[in-house]
Parts: sequence; C-alpha cells; structure tokens
Amino acid sequence: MRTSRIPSIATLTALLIFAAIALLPLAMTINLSQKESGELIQNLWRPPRSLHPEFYTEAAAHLWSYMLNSLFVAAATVIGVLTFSALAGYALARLKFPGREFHYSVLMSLMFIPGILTLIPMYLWVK
Amino acid sequence: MNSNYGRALNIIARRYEALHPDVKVRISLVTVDYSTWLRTQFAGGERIAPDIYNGNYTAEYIGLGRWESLTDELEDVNPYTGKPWIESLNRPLTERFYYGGEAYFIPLDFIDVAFVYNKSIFDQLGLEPPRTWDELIAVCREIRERGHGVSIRGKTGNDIIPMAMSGNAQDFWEGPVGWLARIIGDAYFRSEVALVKAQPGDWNYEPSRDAVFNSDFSNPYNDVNVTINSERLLQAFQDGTIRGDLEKARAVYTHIKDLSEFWPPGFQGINFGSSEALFVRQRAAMLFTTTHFVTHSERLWREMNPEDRFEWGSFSPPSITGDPLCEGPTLRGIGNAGANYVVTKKSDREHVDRVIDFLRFLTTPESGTTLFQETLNDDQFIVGPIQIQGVKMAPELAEKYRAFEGRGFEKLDLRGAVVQYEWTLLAQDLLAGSGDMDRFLAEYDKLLHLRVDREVRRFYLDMNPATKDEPPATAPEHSRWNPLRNGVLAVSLLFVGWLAFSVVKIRGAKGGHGYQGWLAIMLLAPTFLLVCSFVAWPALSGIASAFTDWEDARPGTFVGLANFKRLFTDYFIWKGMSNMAIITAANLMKATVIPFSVALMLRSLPWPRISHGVRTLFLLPMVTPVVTGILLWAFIYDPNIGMLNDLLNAFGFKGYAWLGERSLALPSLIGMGFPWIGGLNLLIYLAGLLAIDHSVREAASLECRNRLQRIVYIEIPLVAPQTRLVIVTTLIVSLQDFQTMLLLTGGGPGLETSVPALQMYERAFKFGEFGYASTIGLMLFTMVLASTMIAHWLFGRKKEA
Repeated sequence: MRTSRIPSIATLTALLIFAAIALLPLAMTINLSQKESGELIQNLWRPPRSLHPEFYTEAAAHLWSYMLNSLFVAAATVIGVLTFSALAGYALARLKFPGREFHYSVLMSLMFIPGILTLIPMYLWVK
Repeated sequence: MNSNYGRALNIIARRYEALHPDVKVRISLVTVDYSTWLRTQFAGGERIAPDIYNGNYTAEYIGLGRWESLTDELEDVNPYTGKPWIESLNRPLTERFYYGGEAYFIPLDFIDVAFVYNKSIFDQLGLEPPRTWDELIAVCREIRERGHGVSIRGKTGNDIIPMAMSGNAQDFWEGPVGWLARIIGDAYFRSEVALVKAQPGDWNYEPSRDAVFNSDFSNPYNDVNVTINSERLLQAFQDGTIRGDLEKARAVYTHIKDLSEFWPPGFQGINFGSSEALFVRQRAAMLFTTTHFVTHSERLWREMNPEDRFEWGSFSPPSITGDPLCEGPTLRGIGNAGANYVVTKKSDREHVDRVIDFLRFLTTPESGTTLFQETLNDDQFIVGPIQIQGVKMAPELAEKYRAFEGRGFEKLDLRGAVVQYEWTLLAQDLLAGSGDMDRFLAEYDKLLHLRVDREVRRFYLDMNPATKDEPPATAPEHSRWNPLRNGVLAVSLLFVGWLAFSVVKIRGAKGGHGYQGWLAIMLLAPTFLLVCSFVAWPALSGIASAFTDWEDARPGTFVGLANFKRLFTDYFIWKGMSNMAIITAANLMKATVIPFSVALMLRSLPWPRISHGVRTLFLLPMVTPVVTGILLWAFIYDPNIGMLNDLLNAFGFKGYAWLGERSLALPSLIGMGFPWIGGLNLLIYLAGLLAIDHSVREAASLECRNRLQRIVYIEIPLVAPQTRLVIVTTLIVSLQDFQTMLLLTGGGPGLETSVPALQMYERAFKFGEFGYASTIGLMLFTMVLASTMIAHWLFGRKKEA
C-alpha cells in the first residue's frame, strides 16, 4: 500500500500536537517548581523570575529518607517478583501436569480482590 | 507532632536531654493526614503508640480511656518554673478542655476565627468593618454592587467577590462553613447548656464547677467552667427537647444561607488554601480565616511583588442583633488549640512520669519563646498565639491577633462528629443545591436521632447520666484455634490444603506426567505460600469482617447479614454506584478508542525513526507517579489559580469551578488526563497492530474500497485480543479506583463524584467502621469478578479470519 506524503505529514503534525498537550502538565510542573509561594499565585505561565536550584536540594533533604524507603521497596519487589514469578511462570507455562488450569485460575482470580479489602487485615497481620 | 513546630521542638528536646542524660526524646513529624496516622499508630499497640500527641484529632478516644488524666499534675508545682503547672498555661483555655472534671489536654497555642478584609477595597468604597450581622450583609451587598468601580493594581472593572469561602468535601466540616455553623449555632442555643450540663448525681458532676449556672449571656465566658453530660445531650435529642427543626435552628441556617449568597460560585469545589489565594490575589474582599493567617501572610507578603501587596485588617465575627431568639448576640469563638497535647496512658508509670516531666519542661517561658521564635525563623507559620505564659510577642503581631481573641468559647456543637458525612451532604445541598430550608431542617432533625444511635453504640453509653461508661478494657480473648483470628494458623491451613489437593491430583494422573507434576509443585510452592499469606488470608479475613460490626478499637461480633441489609438501603452506595457506572463506561472509552486511534496513526507513518520518536514522547508521561498526575490535575482545575481557568481568562472566557459545580464535577473528573493517551494501552495496541500479517493487509486493500472500511472490518477485529486485555484491566482498575476521587474532590460537591470504593476507604479510615467497609469491599469484589467474566465471554477466543 502506498501512502502519499501529505496525509502523513498531517498525521505527524496532529500526533505532535497531542504529544505536546499530553506533556504540557509535566512541563508546567517544572516551570512551577522554581517559583516561590507568593509568585505562584501571581504569575503562573511565565518562566520564574529567578532560578532557585536550592528548592531541589531542600526538597531532597526533606524527602531523602522516603526515597530510600521507596528504593528499598522497589529493589525488594523486583528481586521477589523475578524469583517467584520465574519459578511459577515456568511451571505453569512449560510443564504439563494435572491441575494446571486450576492453579492458573486461582492465581488470576486473586488479582480481582480490591486492594482495600486486604489493607487493614494486612496491617494487623504484619504488625 | 504537627510538622511546623519541628525545628523548635527538636531544639527543646535536645535541651531536655542535656538536663537528663538518661532520657531520649524522639520527635516524629507527621506530614500526612494526622488522624489516619494516629489510628494506625494505635492499632499497632502500646509500644508503638506515641507518648505525647495532638489530641485534637481523636476526640472519641476519650471514651476509650486512652489518655492520662492530668488534673492533679496541673495543681502540682512545675519544677522548672517553681509555680503550679497550671499557671504556666492559659487557664480558661485549659479548663475548656476538661472532660468529666478531669484535665487531659495541654494547649500550647490558640486558634480562633475571625474575618480579614482588604483595607484598600474597603477604603475605596467608604466601608467600615461591620460590627453587627446586618452590617456585614450590607457591606457584602455594597461590594458586590459597586465592586467594579474599585481600582486594584491600577485597573478597574474587576468582578470582586465579597467573601472568599471554601466548601469542598474535606473543608466543609472542618473549615469556615463548619465554624460559622458552630458559632452561630452556639449564639442561639446558649440557654440549652443549662439543660444538658451535669446535674447532681451525674458521674461528671463537680459541685465547684456545675452547681450554679451563670445565665448572664452578655458574659462570653459564663459557661466555661460547666461540664456537659453527653448522655443528657443525647437524651435531649431523643425526646425532642432539642430538635433540628426548631425556629432557632431555622434562624441559624438562614443566617448562613444569607451570607452564602456572597460566596464565590462553585465554592463547594474550593479548598481552604485556594480561598485564601482568592483573598491574597485581591479577587475577594473578605476571608473567614483563623489565627494562622497572621503569620502565614507575613511570609506570603514577603514573596509577593511589592506592587501586589495590600494592607489588610481583621474584625471579629459581628454580633447578631435584633433577633430575640438569639440569646448571646456576640458570636463566640471556637477556642481551640493547634498543638493540643495529650499523654497516652501506658502501663509503665515511670515512663509516664518522665513524659509528663518533659511536658512541664516544654511549657516554661524559655521553651515557649523558643517554640515561637524558632518556628518563625524556620519560615513556618504559627497557628496562633502561644499560650505559655511569659512568651513575648511583637506588638504589631499582638494587635493583629486581637480580633480573634476574647470572645469566649462555643459550648454546644449541635452538629455531631459521628454524623459528619451526612451533615456535610445536607448542608451542601442547602447552600448550593436545592436550597430547600424546610427539607433541610426535617432531615437535620433525623440526623440528630442518627447521632444518638451512633454515639450510644460507639461509646458504649447506657443513657444513664449517673454512670460513667467505658468500653471493656481489653479485647475479648479469642480462641487460639480459631483460624479467623489466628493468622499463622489460617495460612498454614490454606497452604497445607493446597499441597494436599495438588498431591492428590498428581497421584491420580496417568502416564509419564507424574514427575513433571512433582517438579511443578516444588516450583509453585513458594509462590503459593506467599499468595496464601499475603493475598488469600487477608482477603478471607476481610470477607469475614464483612459479617461483623467491627468498629475502630471495638472488636466485632458476628452480626450475620446486618451489614448487607444496611448496604442495600444505603442511599450513598446507590448514588456512588451510578457514578461508578458512568466513570467506568467513560474509562473504557478512553482506554480503547483513543490509544487505538493513536496507534493506527503511528502505524501509518512511513518514517520508522520519527514514528519511534513520537511513540517515546507519548510514553514519557508514564514516568510520573499516578498520584502526582492526579494532584497536577487538581491544580489545573482549581478555579482561582488553576491553569485551565487562567487559559480561559487569557482568551476572554469566564473561568468555571470545575470541581465545585455540581454539574461539572463528574465530567471534569472524567476529563482528567486529557488527551487520554495512556502509554501502556498504546503499546498494547501497537503490538497488536504490528502483528497483523502483511498478507492480510494486501488481501484487504484489494477487497475494501477505502481506508475506513479496512480499519473497521480488518484491523479492529484483529486486535480483539488486545481489546479484551485492555477492557479487562481497565474494568478491574476502574471499579476499585478511589485515589482519583479522594485527591481531586473528596467525593465531590455532595455525592457527585463519590464511588463505592471511595466510600469503603472513608468508612474504614475516616469513620472507623471496618466491618461495614469490608462489606462494601466484598460487594466490589463480586462486581469485579462478574464483569471480568462477562468481558471474557463477550470477547471470547479469537477465530482465525
């Protein structure tokens, strides 16, 4: 099939516009991150009056222990998921054994439980 | 501790440790929702629970006996000042927080409410701060009618809102509207205090305080000593002595309604910070705020452009004159303390004594001054004047605080914390919904009866004022062999059950698959053990809770289907379900149509490198956490400082209250995330499209007349597996999603954006009704299961073309 170039350029332009709209909130966050409280209220769109790189260091100072926690959780999750999923995934995908569909459907159905339902019991359980 | 005092408290803690080398003081700063944090800390048991914390957030815990009584300690000498401890503090304020004749709270600062106004606007219009309620309404009217003549920053023709106000789901109860309801209600119901105060023979009757009721209502402190017996109060509701539809109640809410005419349209979508921004940006002439504004504004003014600064003043809530039903024309204050510390009751007496000693050190003039100075130096705001005697403050600051002080404290709050949810909905409907006063008052009366039921249940009351009612001290012992209570036992049972089942199946197999079976069991065992522990058992336990009446720290007893009966007749749930249906349908559209179209467009580009680059652009927003995205959109939708309204204004269009108007809230929620190009779904569809064989395309281009036909007849059916995956995952997520609603609207004006998942969260963590919350969870689980099965059936196995 051949596509002439004009529709393609139109398509590309449209896509780029969509991408710009999708990225606008992100760009604004960066813009706003450099503004002081008073300025935030007064002056929204224009670039900040002065750059404050110390905001980032301040924020990092407040948040670094939380970030460390997140890092720990992420690392543990990755290791855990890789290990257990690899084992179980191999068993379910490659091995033929009776009860295979049963185990698969059990695992799948547990995904449907609203996270909230398990939240409190989990907290009390882990405590 | 609230985080703004962090630095000062740490300095004081270190000083104390220097004096007492064997003691370590740990200050935990709480930056998340305080009451939720507290609840979880206490659920963790005595060791973890904080020793000193801000008691404002858990008033109901008094009934549960969690606090140390400090009455005697207050009379003792504070070793660090040489005088009785109570003289280190503000006496009337401290006495305000006596319960049952016992002191529990140490208030460190003082919060109260007053109006602040823009002096420039008032001067230009020739207005004076009002001293009566009628004057206030007149001033509002003047501002509304002549506001556009006022010059702000050199420009006229501005639409000035007479009064900024916030009224969204979180702030309605705790914020300005709630305060108004309290202080106006208090002014009208002052004589009722005599009816419900402790009488001789009541458990909390103290002759020195309660024997004589001072009915001189011109004295705002006339009843500050009096203790209210809550069972008498509830009795008054029950037998109709105090009714919701009294003429007095009508007067109270009519006043509020009158004032609400002058509030920003869509105020039910504005939170407190945003209403403050309205005032600071000079778009509103007045603001009903608290003492925190005094120091907070200093900081804001420092950071503003010099030409944007203006002079502001404050005035006390004006008296209601000319109404015979209003018993104490002065509107009294709220009289609260931001840092209102209590001591947790713990079994180690020595530990508790040390804790109290630290508190005494904290309430010395030196520590108080440190608290004040260091917090200001740290660029944090103080919520109000420090109540520790001997703390010096600059005279200009003291002057600004004056309008907030000296009016006494409200005594009877007729709203009731246990019916906060319902009251908010009713009042929101009155002020911006139907506006039907008669219906409101009738429902309000029913609310008071509901309050009686709930408080009786929650606090184990026996409705006999003579007895002090306390919950059973310890939870009833559950049998160790009851799998529903013993987690380890339950998990072991589940796991062994699974093992047994698998082994039996393997044994029953014929042929050579046997050994593969054993291998499979070994590989699956670790996963299933974890699944049993962390998914299956919590879920089962949650489901079991659905059949109990577990509330807060009160362990549940089996109640069968009572929760379900409540579920089916619960108006909130049904409204939430209809919202959930709309949102889910919209989400399904957003997740399938748009990413598919974009995938098609990407696919059609003949330049592979550019196509790859554009695809990466679309994937970039996936990097940010979901919560950040939601908060960002909350900001975009903000009616005062938000991006969307700013954009509209720049083109000359009027801004709207996107999350505040009843008709706009749900559509705005759905519109969040524009242009809805979800990166993950885009990738799924792209993969599906790429897998379409080239030969199929060739065959299609011969048969179909144009591109549109090809899309509809070939490509859409061929990505059916992807569509099924997207639909199933979107369904599962949509039905359970509550953080979007929580962060954006908190349930919306009234119930407009409330969904069952959000209600489950609120019931559990805001109101502590864990049993009922589990019931909602169970219902959601069945719905998710059912809809997924339907989705699977509809988009069944793909047949080859």
